Amino acid sequence: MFTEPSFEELLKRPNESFKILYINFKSEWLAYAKRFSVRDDVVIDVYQDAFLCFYENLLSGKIKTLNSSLKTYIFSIAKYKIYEHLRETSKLRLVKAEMTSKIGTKNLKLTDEPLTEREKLVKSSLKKLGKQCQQVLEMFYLRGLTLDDIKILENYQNTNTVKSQKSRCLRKLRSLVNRENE
Amino acid sequence: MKMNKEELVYKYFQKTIDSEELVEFERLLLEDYAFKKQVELERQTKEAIISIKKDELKHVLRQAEKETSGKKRLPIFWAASIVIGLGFLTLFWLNGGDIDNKELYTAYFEVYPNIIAPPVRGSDSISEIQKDFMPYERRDFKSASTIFEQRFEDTNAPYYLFYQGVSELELGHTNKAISILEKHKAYRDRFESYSNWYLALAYLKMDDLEKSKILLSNIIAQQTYNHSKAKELLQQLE
Repeated sequence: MFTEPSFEELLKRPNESFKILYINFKSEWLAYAKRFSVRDDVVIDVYQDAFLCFYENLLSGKIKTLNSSLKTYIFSIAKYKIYEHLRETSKLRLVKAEMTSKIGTKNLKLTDEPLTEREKLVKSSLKKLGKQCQQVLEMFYLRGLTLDDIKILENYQNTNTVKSQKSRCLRKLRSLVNRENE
Repeated sequence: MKMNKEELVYKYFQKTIDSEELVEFERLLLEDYAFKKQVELERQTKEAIISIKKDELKHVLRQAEKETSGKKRLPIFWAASIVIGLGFLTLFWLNGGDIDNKELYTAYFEVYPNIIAPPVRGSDSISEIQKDFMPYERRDFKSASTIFEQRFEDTNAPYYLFYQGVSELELGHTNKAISILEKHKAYRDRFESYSNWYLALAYLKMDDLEKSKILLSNIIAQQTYNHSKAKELLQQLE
């Protein structure tokens, strides 16, 4: 039987772990999705979106544990997205009445909000920062590592050096954003 | 109480801020414009990093889709061929059906991912098992097969046999793969159902339709690994 990876594994090596999940669950999802009258490309799109949504929730720390299997959770998001699609294409009016997921919609933690214009600017500027800066910022904001953790992992002299490095990176990021914004 | 602003922001993003500090943090957000701007930038940075990570995964999923979708399109191709040229297809069958079986094999065969010891990006230490699977990861199936054979002898862990069988299939050594996978099946470990699928494909490639169909029927009946694909494939064989 296929063993689902832990959250820790998914965060440690997302590309490999999610790919395995994607391949393992796909045929079952395709069989399951046959009950909905939606195009094949929509079935695949919502399946991919469900993985991305789950990943975002993992990264942002919105979900720490699950009461169900990963498959049930991902399928519930995908199913919800199919209902959303059907509602948008006016094939379904009463989404709530049709939603019979084992997991309540609230527990899916669906936000999926697009980036604001400002966030898009920050994103494009962030890509222009040096690798070292990107790494420090990712460690701090995404992985939630302390300055002390970063000092050890990245072999900095002391915590103050990490602190100054992080501040320098943010200052540089701000100036890049402002320049783009002019 | 006067608190260090920088320290407050740090604690906020580390999620170690206490209730008293949070009150001060929220007051500053309302009253101190520079403070507000700083927190906004840091929040936006976090969102942007998440978005970049999602883009990376999106690319990986698209690749995975490309790798798996070919197999979905092919049956449609076959269905269309049957409708358009039944006579043409009959001619293939009269000529032994060799091309059909090999093409079907190619359409359905895919290397089983390394779920035993996937590589850990950015990790300093690599376990012995991860080292064993490195050639398999870089698709050097010849070396992989040799290593798996040796490791099976050393450890008697059946999964090495399974991965050796898949490596041999990928190398085109179908008879060798069959004998390894049959040997693996006898261990009845958690990879047994996967071996059934690869054996069904291997027998198909060798034109042993009888054995292939029996295995496919078992996979469908027991609803094990790739049972939907097995159903699809069996329909094409009958």
